[in-house]
Amino acid sequence: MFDIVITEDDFDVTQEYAALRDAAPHAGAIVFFVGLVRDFYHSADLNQDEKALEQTIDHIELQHYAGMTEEVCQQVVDEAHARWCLDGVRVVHRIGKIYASEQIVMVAAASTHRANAFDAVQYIMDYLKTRATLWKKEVGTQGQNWVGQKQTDIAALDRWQINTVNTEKSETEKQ
Amino acid sequence: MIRVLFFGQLTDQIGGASLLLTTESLPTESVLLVRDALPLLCEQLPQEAVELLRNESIMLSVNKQLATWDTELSEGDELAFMPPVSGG
Repeated sequence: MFDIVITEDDFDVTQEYAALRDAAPHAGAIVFFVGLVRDFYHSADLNQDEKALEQTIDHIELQHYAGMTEEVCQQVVDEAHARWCLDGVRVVHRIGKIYASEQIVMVAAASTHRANAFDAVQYIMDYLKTRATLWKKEVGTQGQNWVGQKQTDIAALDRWQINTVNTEKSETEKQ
Repeated sequence: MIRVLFFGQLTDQIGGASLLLTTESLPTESVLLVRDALPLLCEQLPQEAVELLRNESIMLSVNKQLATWDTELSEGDELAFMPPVSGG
């Protein structure tokens, strides 16, 4: 099972776990990551001026490029599968209107030993954040705000040594 | 026709998620590149809006594949302008 689902519907981690466990009967480890909608701006990402604009988030609206999002997510999962021995991966990313504290994304990986599953989940999340064609608008007490790319997300790619954002750009420029 | 899509904050800045470009007025033998879409867009959008599309942070795609300003466009293609992504 190497599945990617982009959906407006919420997901049930218990069911997802059971499905992945069934699909990977020889796995020795299953790692789950679930991302939730924060109900406030993350202060660590803000400079002093922006902190003054800190607000409470009511919900987010996630727009995506249907067809391309699935393709990019599949590429990221395939890269992880090529890099680590994995028995299964399941990715669910929600789109549309999602309220504060609700689930937004889930990445789960099954492998023989835990290190591969932990690494694969981290890798997939890092690259989903920087490549998947999703755009988040936060709607809160002081209006609406499209979320920009965070430098911390770009910096996180360093741990995988190749900065794919730049690599992709230079590759396409060569064409 | 070429279908042009705008994502993220471009949707609000442009005032719409998509529009259609007519290529009928162009000579049929000429090669149309992504960069050539900009003057065509100027016929439908304010100049300030088209300027936003030139920003170096904007990613381009043609038929859902990452593209550059020099990627060729053909009749029926789908061209997208995408600001930096923010999912997850």
